[in-house]
Parts: sequence; C-alpha cells; structure tokens
Amino acid sequence: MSTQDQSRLEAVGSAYDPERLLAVRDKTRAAIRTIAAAVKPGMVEEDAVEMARDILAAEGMVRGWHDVYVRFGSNTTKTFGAASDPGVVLGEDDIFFIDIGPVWKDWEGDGGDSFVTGADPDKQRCADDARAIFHEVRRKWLDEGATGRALYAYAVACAEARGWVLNMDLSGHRLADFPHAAIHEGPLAEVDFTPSRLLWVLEIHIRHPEERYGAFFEDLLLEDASFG
Amino acid sequence: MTVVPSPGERVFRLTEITSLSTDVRRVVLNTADGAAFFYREGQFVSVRLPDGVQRSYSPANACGAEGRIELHIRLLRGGHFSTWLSGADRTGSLVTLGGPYGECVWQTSVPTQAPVFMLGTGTGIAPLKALLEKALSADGPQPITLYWGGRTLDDLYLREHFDALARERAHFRFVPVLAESTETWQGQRGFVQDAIVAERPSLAQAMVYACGSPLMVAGARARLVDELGLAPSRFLADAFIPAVSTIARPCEPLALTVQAHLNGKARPLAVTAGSPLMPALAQAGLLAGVCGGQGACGTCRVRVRPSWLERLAPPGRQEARLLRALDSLPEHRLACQIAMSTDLNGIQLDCN
Repeated sequence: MSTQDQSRLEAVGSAYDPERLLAVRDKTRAAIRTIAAAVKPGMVEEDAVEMARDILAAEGMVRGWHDVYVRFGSNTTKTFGAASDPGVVLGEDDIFFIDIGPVWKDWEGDGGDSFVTGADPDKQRCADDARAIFHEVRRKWLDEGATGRALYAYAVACAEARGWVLNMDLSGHRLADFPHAAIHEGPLAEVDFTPSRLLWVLEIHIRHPEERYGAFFEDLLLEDASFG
Repeated sequence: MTVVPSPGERVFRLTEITSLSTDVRRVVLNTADGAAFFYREGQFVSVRLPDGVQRSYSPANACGAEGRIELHIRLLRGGHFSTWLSGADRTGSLVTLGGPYGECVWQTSVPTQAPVFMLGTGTGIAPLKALLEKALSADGPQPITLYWGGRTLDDLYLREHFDALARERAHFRFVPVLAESTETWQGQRGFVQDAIVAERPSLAQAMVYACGSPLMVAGARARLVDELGLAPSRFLADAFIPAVSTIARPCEPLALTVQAHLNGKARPLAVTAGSPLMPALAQAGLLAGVCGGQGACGTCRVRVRPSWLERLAPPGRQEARLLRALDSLPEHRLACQIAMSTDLNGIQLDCN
C-alpha cells in the first residue's frame, strides 16, 4: 500500500492534539477502574450499564462515539454492537468486561478490560490472557514494525496457543479527535503498513472454545512506558 | 429462560401483578434496559410470551420516560395468556413487546375547545385512561366526559378512581353505566351509547373516542352520527376482540414521510413506520449518526418544529442527559430516539 494511502488512513481532524488524546486515554482507563470497582455479584447487567453511564457522566464524558458496554457472564461472548441477552446477573464466580468509547470535549477515548468475581481459575486466566495477548501483539508492533494485518494474524495464533478463539469481528480501528469515523472506519487488521503510535486501537476479544464466556482488552498502540 | 426479541421488539420485565376485579389484572411491565418506550396514548402493543404466543393490549398509563407500561388483562377461561398469567407467580418474567400500533390517539388537529367524549366498555377503559391522563396533564380547556359501561359494578373496577378525578377536575365528568343494574343503583342503565344519547349533548364540534366491545363501537358510531350530529371523522375507535390465535390486530409496515430541512432546503424522506429517523437522515447525508443509533454520540441531534414536538413522547433518561450535555434547546431531540409512526407522518425537522 502506498504512503499516500497511509496518510489518508492516518489523517486527523483540525482539533487533533496528542497530549489531549493521551489525557482522554488516562480518563478512560480511570473510568474503567472506577466502573469495575463498583460492579458486584448479584447485579443485573442493565443496572451495571446505567451505573457506568453515571460514572462517565460524572467525569464529563456523557457523550461517546459508541455506547457503553458492560457485559456479564455469557454476554462476554457477544461481539461489538450485538445486543446483550437481557437480565443476566453477575455470579459469585463469574467474568465481566467493560468497553467504553467516551468523547471528552473534542477528543475520543477507547478502552476495554476484563475482570472476574470469585475464584474460578479458568475465567481468571481468560481475563489475564486477553491482557497478555494484547501486550504480546503490541510488542510485535513495537519490536518488528508489523503491519496491522500481520498483528492480527499473530493475535489469532497467540489466542490459539493459549486455548482461546480470537473474535476477528473486533479487529482494531482508528482513534482521533471526534469523530474518527469521518476519517477512516476500516479495521486495523486490513492495514498493510506499520500503524503509527497514538492513532490506532488494538482490540483483543477472546472466547472459550466450548464454554459461554470470553474476555476483552483494548487500548491504543503505544510504547511500554504508557502501560504502568 | 433467555428471551430473545425479534426485530422491532423490546424486552420487558413483568414487575407487578395486582387484581383490579374478580377477573381483571393490572400487569405492570418495565423495559429490561430501563430505557423509555415510546407510544402514543390510545395505541396498543403486541405482547409475546416466552413460548412465542402473542396478544395485543393497550397501555393504561400515559407514556413516560421510565419505560413503564400498565396493562389491564381480563382473564378468559381457557385463554392462553390468562392461563400463563394465573398459572404461577410470573413476577420477574421477561416478555417481548412489539409496536406500538393503532390510530386511536389524541387528535391534535381538533380545536382545543372542542368537547371530548370517551366511551368505554370493560377493559376498553385502558387506552381511554391513558388518553385521559395525557389530556388532563396538558390541562386543556376542553370538557371531557367519560362513559364507562359494564354488566355489573365489579366490571367498573376503577370507578372510585374516576369518581375522585371528577371531583378534582372541573372539566372532567364521569358517567358509569350498568347493563345489569340493581335496585340500589342510582346511575345510568343500559349501554354507554344509550346513556350518551339520552343526555343529548350537541356533538357538532365534538371529538369521540370509543374503546371496547365491537358491538358498542359499531352501535355508538351509528347513533352518535345519526342522532347527535357527530361528524364521522370525529369518531375514533378501537374495538377489542378477544384473542383466538396470535396477533388480533396485525400492523402492516407503512412508508411515511419526514420533511428534513438543511440550509433552508427541504428534503422529503421515506421512513417505515416503527423505524427510527436517524438512518434515513444519515443516508441522505443530512447528519452523521456516528454511534449508529445507540443514543451515545449526539451527532443525530435535530430541531423538531414546534407543532410536531408535542407529538413526541418525552426523552428517556439517557437521551435527556446527552441533550443537556450538548446545551440543547427544548426543541432538540436525537433522531435515533424518534420512532416513526403514522401520527408523525410529514414531521418537519431541521438538521442544522
């Protein structure tokens, strides 16, 4: 793919500001932690979603470039945009993930992470592996300059090696000053150049091959120093 | 049991069942996601049970922002819904709702001074109650008279409610009518259409809403038009037919029109009844709709022209909060949260 194509796919809007984007990233990750801390066994997923919206609103992030997702139990297998099965209650030994795409002033955030309740070792491993696979793939980008396409081929292999199935419907996307959709809506997995830092989100959604649960982690492609 | 809604349906949780009379139950449903459910008072919804069987009922409460619907369900011996409802404690059960459907809604084209008459039998009172709540909350100047008929006093299960309302509201009058009255009954006797004809009000400028038995609806229309001078176009009715199979009142998808204005130019767009406005506006390039209709991004915000604004149900919590965050004006709404219906046909809105 030509340089010009990369320029077009990695274009930004008039309000683009790397520092602001990093600040919104910090706010996004902090919100995920706050939401996760407030989620408890016995909650109904719909109530958790509403609670998450309240938390985001309190942080000045009422608006989002996508809806707020808090997925419990079997709903953790749902792909982006798919409606959750209603009325799912978080169990005592369960798994859930959070996926938010807030807009703060003119800038987009995007983040996701998975958490467990109780002591189910397989679900704990699933949540941990979503995070671990994200960093394995991110380091391939960092160390080798791998293309988006190569990154996701690698992500599939990493997931399989750990016994999970990677959901390729969630295969990364742009992020920018709001809305990135006006610039490029295509997935990172179809990019044939080395994606630039701070412009792309790497999404890792894994599912158990037989059981009805999965885990999700996503964040911007950034250097190690950005991950404490 | 997991309930999966069909396209166009919403999932509701049955939160309350109370007895209104020997064989009528108040069933309260709340949206499972807590979001608002829009309908026009007087319309009906199609309720689908977990086993797939569907029945139609009219909400008995004015549409609110909290996604709550009250239904009045008469238990019929051998009825599928009746059997399900009374067979176990169904509180907490999930059902799905399609709609809303129907045209028996408040007519805003009628002059506000025009007297309103409502005729109901049995659980036909449900949509009339919703219409009445909406009308009284608007505190309009028109006098409203409700005639409610039943065989016995037990059939008029909200009689005390309407008696109290009539004492509180100077413009509202309630006339209970019994077909099988006792010696002690001091009120009107016979059928509701007989009762209104006996009082001989002038219906030349009036608006009439009738809900209940098909015989009452047919009989009332004929007598009010022929004997009391009611204009035929001023008689709106919803005949309640006991269910024998699936949907008692099927609804065909209709292509309706939205007049979308941008930079001074009007674009007529076709939108199917029941569909949200946003996709048609986005496809026409009039707005972005970044989040795809999830009510998250606010980029589908439109200004609804005043005469149409009042026909919309109030925004739900999420929409209201987002509109406030965007410093919206009272006429601003999110196009993804407006479901097209026949009474919005021709709606005028501005996309900038």
